[in-house]
Amino acid sequence: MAHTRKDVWKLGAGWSDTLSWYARGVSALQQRPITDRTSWTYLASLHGFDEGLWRAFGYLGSAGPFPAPGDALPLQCQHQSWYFLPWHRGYLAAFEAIVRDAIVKLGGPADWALPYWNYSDAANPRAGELPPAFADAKMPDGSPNPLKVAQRYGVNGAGRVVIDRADASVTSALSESEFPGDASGGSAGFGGPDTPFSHTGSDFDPPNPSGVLEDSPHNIVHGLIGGFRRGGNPNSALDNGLMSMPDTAALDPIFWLHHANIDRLWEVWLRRDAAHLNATAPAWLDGPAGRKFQMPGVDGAPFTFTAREMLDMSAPQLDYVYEDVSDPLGGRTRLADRFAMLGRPAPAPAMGMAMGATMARPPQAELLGANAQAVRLEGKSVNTQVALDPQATRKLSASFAPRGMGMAGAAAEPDRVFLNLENIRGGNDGVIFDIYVGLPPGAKPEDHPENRAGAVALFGVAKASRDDGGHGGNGLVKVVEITHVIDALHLKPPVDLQKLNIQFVPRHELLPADNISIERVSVYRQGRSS
Amino acid sequence: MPTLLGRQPWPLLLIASLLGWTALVGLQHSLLVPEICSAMVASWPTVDSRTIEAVLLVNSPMGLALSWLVMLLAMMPLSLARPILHLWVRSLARRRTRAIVAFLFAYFAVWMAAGPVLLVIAVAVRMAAKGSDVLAIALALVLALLWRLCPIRQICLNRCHGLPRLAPFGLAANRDCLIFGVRTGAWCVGACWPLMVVPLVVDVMHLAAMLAVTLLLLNERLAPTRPVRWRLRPARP
Repeated sequence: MAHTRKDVWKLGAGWSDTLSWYARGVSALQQRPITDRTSWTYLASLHGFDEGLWRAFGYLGSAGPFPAPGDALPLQCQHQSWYFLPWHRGYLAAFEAIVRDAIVKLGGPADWALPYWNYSDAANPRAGELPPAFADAKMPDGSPNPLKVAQRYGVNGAGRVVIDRADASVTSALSESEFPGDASGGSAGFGGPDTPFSHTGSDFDPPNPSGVLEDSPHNIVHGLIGGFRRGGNPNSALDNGLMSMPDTAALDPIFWLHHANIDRLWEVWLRRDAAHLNATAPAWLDGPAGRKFQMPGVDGAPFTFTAREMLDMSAPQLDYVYEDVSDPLGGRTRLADRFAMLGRPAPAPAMGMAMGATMARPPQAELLGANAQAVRLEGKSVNTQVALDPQATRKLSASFAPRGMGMAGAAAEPDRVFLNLENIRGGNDGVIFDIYVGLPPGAKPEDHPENRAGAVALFGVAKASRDDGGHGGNGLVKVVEITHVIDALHLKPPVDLQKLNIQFVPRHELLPADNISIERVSVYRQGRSS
Repeated sequence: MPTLLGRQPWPLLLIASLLGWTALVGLQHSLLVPEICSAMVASWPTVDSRTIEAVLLVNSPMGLALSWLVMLLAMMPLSLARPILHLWVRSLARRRTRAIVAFLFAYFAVWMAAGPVLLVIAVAVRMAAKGSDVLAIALALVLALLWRLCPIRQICLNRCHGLPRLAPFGLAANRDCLIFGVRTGAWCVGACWPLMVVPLVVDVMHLAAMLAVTLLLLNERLAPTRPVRWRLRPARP
């Protein structure tokens, strides 16, 4: 009988059995030395590791050099990659098995499973709040609570953790129809761009963007929980929350509930639309070529796994189901929503399926234009203008012209448009900012939610900015879809597509010392005609 | 690696490299650069300006330059995959070819300028090896090893990974592509100059040495950046 991963907010108020046992399991793992592959710290190191930070936060103690030479398990976490979802599924399954084993040894239930935190649950007004058991100083029996960590600064820099409804939105992720994307400037796909083994962001190609789910809500929730310390030094990683930085994120016990939800959303995405399919390329299924994914078993012995082995949740090494994988969007599709907004008849479902079947891969994206110089993010708001190339923009406009039935027998979708923030560098992983596109001059962003393209969290930026840290110092690349803003412009002709005003509004006023810069802000089209 | 070889720009670069190798094999009977080394060494210690003049009359500077360029064409393309991909993705569609051509022009110009200097070094190594092929390679490899230990080399290798901002339009766009080519070429020379001396010091086994160095260069270029310090262990891509 498969284990059931339950919604943490439906377990009952305060300290449910599931959370009590989780805390005791965490405690047991934390007693084990880092040299034990089933210890809390060793398991966290599989996600990321930084000797200076770990020592400063008290997680290394008097341990010798770590990782041990030749140990291929630490520093494996896959990000900005199509391996993001399958790797984390394997990671969570290994962790859950080890915690369950510890729980059973303490006399707990053999059917214990990791709960998930569904911060997007529209039916629960408290869904975005941190489950209280993670904030209590003590457990019900008076012992210290291992689920609470000091370096969790939240949205106010002082420990208040709440995920706002807009930030918790899963609409863009669940509406994305293709699993694999690429790094050509357009959609990075639901699951991420195809890459080789990608821990340090891999500069096999120019820096890769994150898949849509990885960016939002995954990266944003990391930043909202970890944050950075109010009054702290923005140049110092020591003042970032554990969840803000990839090298320390898995040290915070809330990490696992967050990732259980992300894993659940993968399942939700697959079920909500028959056209939503996992990647089929052998490179994804059986990769990565070269270095394989490894996890410790319950006895500490490492085993390898591939994405292919992560696809069936009923397989013995996974053996779990989620309490609720229903579609929170009620069957809405991105295409139907878009055609409705444009006032055009949507493609009929049968045609839609045919379109899905004949679409091999989304077409390569194409640059439309970029801003004139690098942008430094300082203060409360920063503006930049993106100048668009007339020739390239004509192709975009042409795609909006109403068409008859094409060869595929379906109404063709106009181009999608994406903002690219290239080579974002900085020292503060806890920064989150909102992006507004096409605001009228002098307008207040908060008065124009229709111009809000989304939010960006700089999870991983510090490491990506170091030119000796594996990323080549090229920073992060973020891709944000702005199709709906361009669509709105097309509904109010004449359409002026010579310049686009882009406004960045950080959640907290940024100081020069935060040192956040965006090398180039550019706009790409991705469509049927090239 | 194998799966990526199927994706542009790798196939095109592989073809460019193979063209270079074909040209080299075809021209082998007239490969000038290693011969000039032998010629210089053979006339040592009587080398003076007239000897050099005579050697250069027989082996024309244009011929030397051509043979150096063909060597570069055979050895460099695969290492340029990432910058070329950056240029492709980050340029307007109508400017892509122009952008890549500007970059390559600047990149190879830097290596061409480095050519004479490397040739002088190769001659010096050959002289120190008293004309022995084996000793010459050994000396060149020792030089490469010593340079590999140097932190400065890691700085150069790290900087090779830089992918700069490219202006989207007009003269600024051309300028940025040229500067990108110059910078990449310069860091490349800084990181790999001793390795490039190796095939210059040998007559026989010249092509084999070139092939070995090509693979070494590619391995280095594909490895991720690393902290700068004195180190012995090679990087793993």
